[in-house]
Amino acid sequence: MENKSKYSPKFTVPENYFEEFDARMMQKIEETQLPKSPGFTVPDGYFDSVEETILQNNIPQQQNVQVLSLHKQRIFKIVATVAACFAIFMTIDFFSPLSTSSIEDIDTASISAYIEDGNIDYSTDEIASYLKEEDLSTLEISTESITKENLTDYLLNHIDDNTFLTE
Amino acid sequence: MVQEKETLVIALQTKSDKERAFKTLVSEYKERLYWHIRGIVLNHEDADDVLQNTFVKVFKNIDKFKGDSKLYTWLYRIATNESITFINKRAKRNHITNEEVRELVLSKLESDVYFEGNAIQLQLQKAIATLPQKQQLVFSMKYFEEHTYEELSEILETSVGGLKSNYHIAVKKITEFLKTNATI
Repeated sequence: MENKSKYSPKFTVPENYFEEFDARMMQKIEETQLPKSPGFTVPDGYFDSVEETILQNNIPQQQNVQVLSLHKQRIFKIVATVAACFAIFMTIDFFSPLSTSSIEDIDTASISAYIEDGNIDYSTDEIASYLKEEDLSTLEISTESITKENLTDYLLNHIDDNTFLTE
Repeated sequence: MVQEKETLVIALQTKSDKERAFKTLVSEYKERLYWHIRGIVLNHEDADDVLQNTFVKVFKNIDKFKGDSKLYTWLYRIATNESITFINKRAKRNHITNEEVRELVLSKLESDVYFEGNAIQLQLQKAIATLPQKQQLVFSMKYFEEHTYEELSEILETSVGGLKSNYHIAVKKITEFLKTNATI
């Protein structure tokens, strides 16, 4: 014990360091005996060719990009549009029975459904402006389903103005 | 060196310099990343696929690299993830486990024209294959690729203490395997 203090006056070592040293040393020796290379090889010139492949796959090659004339594309689009319109017009004209129909032939339910589906982007004020005074007075509003309780709930939940409540 | 890397990252994230910087990046890291990937997937053709996938991912995601980690750490992480994903996909496709995928590749290693290892090197690969995936990674990256524990800690997001313990356990298992499966 005297010698221990002589050789290590100030330094300390982790717990069990010397007890475990032999085993760790043996492991280190065994480790040095393992092959230093895994034994894998690559084809000749692989790293040069793979670099080329990677760059080709990621960076668009300028010389391979086909430049299309904007002018030609526009002409083609115009011609195609005119041809398509003509084809549609001919089809409707020859085969559609609606070609001779008028607004009177469409039933009210279909018009209602069309409006309810949101196909006409009019506000209620805009629609009201098309109605005459007598049309407005004949509009029927069903009040059967509105009970007093429902009305109170609605007012409490939707009307912010407190004057209604106090009145 | 650190300054150079920062300049490279800035160039990679600048539209006008991206292509030139990417060429530099590929040239600098292709070999290191290849050997890292090869150590995981073992076969050359597979390593080639994964290396290309890795650089595709790097090219697409370089703008997302915030510089919180070092560039090579980020590259190694992508390469590691791509390699593991590659094995997982193969396992799923063939309805087998990841370990079985590795065993399958190992069984063909002897006749692989791009494996020139001797009997001991082949045994070493078989020994590595017996380890859990994390220990395989730690052993290969420390022993063959000679990363420091600090580098490994950043790449694998594990404490240095944990890595040391993983490495020692791996070496112990490998030497034991080689003793019990001696070729001579």
